[in-house]
Amino acid sequence: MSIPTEVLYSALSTLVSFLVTIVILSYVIGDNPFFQVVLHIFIGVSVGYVLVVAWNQVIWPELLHPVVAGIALQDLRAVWLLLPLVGSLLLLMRAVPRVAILGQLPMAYLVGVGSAVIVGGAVLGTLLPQIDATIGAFDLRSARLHPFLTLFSSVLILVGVLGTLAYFHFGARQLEDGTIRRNALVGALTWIGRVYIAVSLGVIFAGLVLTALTAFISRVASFRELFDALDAIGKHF
Amino acid sequence: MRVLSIVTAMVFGLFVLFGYFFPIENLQALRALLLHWAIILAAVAMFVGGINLLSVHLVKIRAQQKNSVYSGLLVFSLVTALLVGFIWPDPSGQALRFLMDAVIVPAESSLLALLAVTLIYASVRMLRRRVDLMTFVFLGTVLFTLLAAMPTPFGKLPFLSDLLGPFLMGPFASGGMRGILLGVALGALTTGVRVLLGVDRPYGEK
Amino acid sequence: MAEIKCPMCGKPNPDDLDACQFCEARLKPVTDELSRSQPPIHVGDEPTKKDTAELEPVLPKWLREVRQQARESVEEQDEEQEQQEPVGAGDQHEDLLAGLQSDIEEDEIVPDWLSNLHGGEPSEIQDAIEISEDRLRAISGDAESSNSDMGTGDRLPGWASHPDAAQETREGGETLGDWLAREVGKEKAQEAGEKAPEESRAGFGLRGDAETDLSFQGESVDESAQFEGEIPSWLRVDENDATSEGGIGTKPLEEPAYREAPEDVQVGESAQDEPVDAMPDWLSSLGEETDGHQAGGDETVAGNGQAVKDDQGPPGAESELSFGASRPESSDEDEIPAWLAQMGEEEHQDEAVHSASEAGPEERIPRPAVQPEADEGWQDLSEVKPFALEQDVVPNEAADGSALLGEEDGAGPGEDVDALFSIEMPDWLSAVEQSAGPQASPEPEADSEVIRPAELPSWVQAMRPVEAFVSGEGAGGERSDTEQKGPLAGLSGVLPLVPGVGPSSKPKTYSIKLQASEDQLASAEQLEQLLEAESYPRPAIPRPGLPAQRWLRMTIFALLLIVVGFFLFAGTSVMYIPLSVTAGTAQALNIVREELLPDAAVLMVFDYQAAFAPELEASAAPLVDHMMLLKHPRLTLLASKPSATGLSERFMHNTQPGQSYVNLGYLPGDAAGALAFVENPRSAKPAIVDGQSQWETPALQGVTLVSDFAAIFLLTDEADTARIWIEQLHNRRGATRLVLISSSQAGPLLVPYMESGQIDGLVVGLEGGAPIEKVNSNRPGTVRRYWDAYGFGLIITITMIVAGSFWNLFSGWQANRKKTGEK
Repeated sequence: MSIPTEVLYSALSTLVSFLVTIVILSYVIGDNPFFQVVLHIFIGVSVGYVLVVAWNQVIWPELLHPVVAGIALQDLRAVWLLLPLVGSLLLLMRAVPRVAILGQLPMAYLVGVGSAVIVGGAVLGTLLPQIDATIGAFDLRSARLHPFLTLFSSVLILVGVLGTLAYFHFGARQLEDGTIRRNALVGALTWIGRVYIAVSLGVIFAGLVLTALTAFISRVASFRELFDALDAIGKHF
Repeated sequence: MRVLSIVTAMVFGLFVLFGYFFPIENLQALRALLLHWAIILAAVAMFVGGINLLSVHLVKIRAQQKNSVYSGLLVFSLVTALLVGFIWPDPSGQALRFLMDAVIVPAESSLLALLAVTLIYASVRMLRRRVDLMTFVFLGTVLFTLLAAMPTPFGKLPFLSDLLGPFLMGPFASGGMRGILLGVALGALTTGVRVLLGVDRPYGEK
Repeated sequence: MAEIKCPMCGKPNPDDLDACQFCEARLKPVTDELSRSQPPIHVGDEPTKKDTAELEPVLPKWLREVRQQARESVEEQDEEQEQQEPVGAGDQHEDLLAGLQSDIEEDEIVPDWLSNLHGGEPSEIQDAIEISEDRLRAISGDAESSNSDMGTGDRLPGWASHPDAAQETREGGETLGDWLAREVGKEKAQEAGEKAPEESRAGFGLRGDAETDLSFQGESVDESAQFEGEIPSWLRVDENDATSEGGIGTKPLEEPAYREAPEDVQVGESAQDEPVDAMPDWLSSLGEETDGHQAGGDETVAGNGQAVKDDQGPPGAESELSFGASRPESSDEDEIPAWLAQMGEEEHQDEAVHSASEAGPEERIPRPAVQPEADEGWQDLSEVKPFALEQDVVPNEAADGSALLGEEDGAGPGEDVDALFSIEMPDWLSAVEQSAGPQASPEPEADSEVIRPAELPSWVQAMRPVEAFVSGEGAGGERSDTEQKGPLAGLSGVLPLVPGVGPSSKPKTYSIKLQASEDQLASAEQLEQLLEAESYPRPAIPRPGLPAQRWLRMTIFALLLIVVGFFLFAGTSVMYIPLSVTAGTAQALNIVREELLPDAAVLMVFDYQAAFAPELEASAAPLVDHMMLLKHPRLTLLASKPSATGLSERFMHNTQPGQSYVNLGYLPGDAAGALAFVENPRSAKPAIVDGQSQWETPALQGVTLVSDFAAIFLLTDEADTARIWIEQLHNRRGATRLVLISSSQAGPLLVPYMESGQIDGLVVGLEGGAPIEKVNSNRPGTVRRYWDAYGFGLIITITMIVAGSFWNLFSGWQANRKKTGEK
């Protein structure tokens, strides 16, 4: 009798997975110590996994190893990595309250670069293309549907876009009597925007339900996987 | 340090931003270098987060605060995962795969499965809490979308899947989604510009 | 963010917290704001109204605490902290009473309890007045003549040398009025002069127009005794003491020091003679302390600190006990703070005030104020125990008077005199002298001769303890009070605090009680107990059974579990998988089937979390499998989330076992990482494994730019992260096809990108993967396995939502109808 490692691994993995699933689903009855135990183990493993990945796949191969090797081989390219190395050390100082302020510098660098990328991406990757698409929808020459349907659809989209944006626009004018009112057109668009947003959020909510339902199904399916794994082991006896 | 941080964020940020609009070769090379540094620092930042988590729970254990047993378990599992990862660093190996298959994926997807119950419960209770037009619109959209996605023994529901579903998901939802995307992009643009101009300083400065 | 160290546990806390996040001890003094908002009062300043009625309710509490602390201090004399507790209490005591007084002045309403106090202690109040009067005489009018009297320690000022002075003032309220009209008139001639006759009777009227006091003032002490049962115990006790001692009760009225020497000496004795219950709490506690002192020797009368020293340790320790925060170490003069040493010298010199005012407080806390001495004096005063004040009245007075004069001499008339005045108000100076006297070295007494008549400031203003204490607190920050919450609860002297200000959580209630009629006063005790009971947490009573909401959740869960479980375990294939697909799915399928060339380089970006792995694996596996079967592409994997590295391996292991691929690993940096990879993939992700770059492997040969990939498959669970990749790839991917495989939740938000042509294919959820799997000969079969459970799960979900919504709508409508009917 020899059970292949992969089968053993599968059985053990499925068994642990089953236990974790059962305990976490027990939360539906109420919070309980088992749930807390599994939750804390899960968090610990997740964080540990993330740290391992960050170390094994980024920090060591892309920072420390090149620097060490570069110094050893007197490779000047390693000099370029000294700056991120110093930045990394400063960043690690954020964990020490007394010198945490030194970590501001690399954080500022990260935030500045990240913001620039987001700004560039938002303008060039979303704003312009989406505006272009909204306008381009009225180009009936490239319409795949009936021109009238295309026009109708394009108008609906345009109204939806404007209405949604108007909903998030809070500008208003102060009248002579001191009251603050929105422009009538903006007010109407805002109301329409609310409907559009309600529909959009309804679709997103339904999508979330479908995703959660799929996860639920996968978890229940893991019960069966346990039986299958145990059955596979049993076949080797 | 304060001024230096602001200057750092502004200078490097603007430099990277200009790279979008001025594709000069040397500029792009330097930009790639800066981005690579950012990648490395982002990975190190995750380490800082991990260290922080570890220290918080170690303090809890040391102080023997309430539920410090859980903190002990967390620290233990974290250290175990670290050891496993350092000893068997191959992510395709059985050690790390076991952590993923046996703990991480089941735990996370079970939590998501619990969300299914919560979402259904919230939908059921929605009309109890609020009865107005938008609630009906929202709930109606949810139901029609679910119905349109629902498989049946004879295929999709004819009217819902063929007409109403695409209509909801098409121009109607698309208009709203596009509006939301534009709003998000505008928000990101505003926030990013504020950071680049030093108005917002989310890196430790107030 | 700045951090504050918790004084209790020593752990760092963010500075915006008020209580320690670890031990819940208070991090910031309650009075911090108060002391900052109320600048120190200087002599001569115009009185400002200050409503301290809120402090009234605290009285009983702290009095009890003082008593308790005093007991503890006797028991644990060697612990400095506990020796300081009574000091804080004493400060509180004075402060509080001053607050009461100022309250009366401002509101012109004398609550019953105050009337009772007044009635019970008319003589004491008048004592204070008389003392002040005498003092004023000594300072100003009689200064010239009393110079010599006050200049020596043995010689008492004229007022102090008459033991019956208090009695006289009790009987003769008119004297006070005269005095007020005469003395106060220097500063506020008209006001004080007009009110003087009335105030002279009221006693409290010293500082305000306590009209209501007058009525009660007319009553005799005996009359006041009839309210004894209604008066809080501390007031009753006060009365007793006052009657017997003739002036203790005036202490709370902020002029305890200015009493006659014989009386003060007797106070200590009487504290032993009188039953504790018959005294005010604070007095009784002090009395106990006195007992402790006397146990060691009979020096209690002469010097409170000394007595204790005889008993247990060096004299310095004794003086610490009595002076708390001052803590003079009299055994070694070098160790004595300068100000204290000078005080000790003052004890033996008649004009010791000179040195005290010069060197003492100023050296400790230099202040830029106009009258720094005054502030410091108040600060030091705040550290003095009430008992010490009483015991050393005679020397205090002598020292105070001389101090005043000496200061005037040294610093000149005017404001400095005022400052000195404020310093000498409390008798801590003399108290220190008492304790430190034996060790103090003699000082030249020449200053006493230079004493000149002081120009009286508005001393009434300067003697207002509340404000003065507050100012002193702000300057020194050495005050302490009792902790109310956290592990420090019940401890005093842990954090700086203005006495009497902190524990005012139930001021209104107390105030109501105290201002109530006699009938209400009768039930004051009960009310107090009720209020105290309110502050104690009650154990939560567990509800029997589970709440309805939880039942509903469990029902939903059970129904889902039964339906889904049944179809999963049964393995049925009831539900039909349609071949009709969305435009996005159709395009994705078309790319795989038609556009991809065999052996093309394909990049798969894993951008999802573990929670979504089941859905995305089921959705993406058919398309990837279809691609692998048809085109045998060179697969490259990239993870944009740390856990996605393992998920990518899991995906390939579960769906494409045995396939070769290159895993570049994790790409951190979110948007920056995506941009870096899009612009220069090799630089952004060198992916060196065992010294060899993954880019040199056959799978990635010829790929230097992202556009060199034939297609990019982005598996994502989030619209936001997907947006990052779409944005960065826009206009940079050339002819590379971008196909998104997303979870159902992210799908709708990605549709606009599909419509704008920024992505070339979109497969959303199980619904998107199902037809592809069917086209792919039901490989790998995950969707098919889930499909029935998915369909019936959706049916039960929709049913529950519809039924529940209707039920809730109906029940809500019914409830509204019922409400309308009731109305």
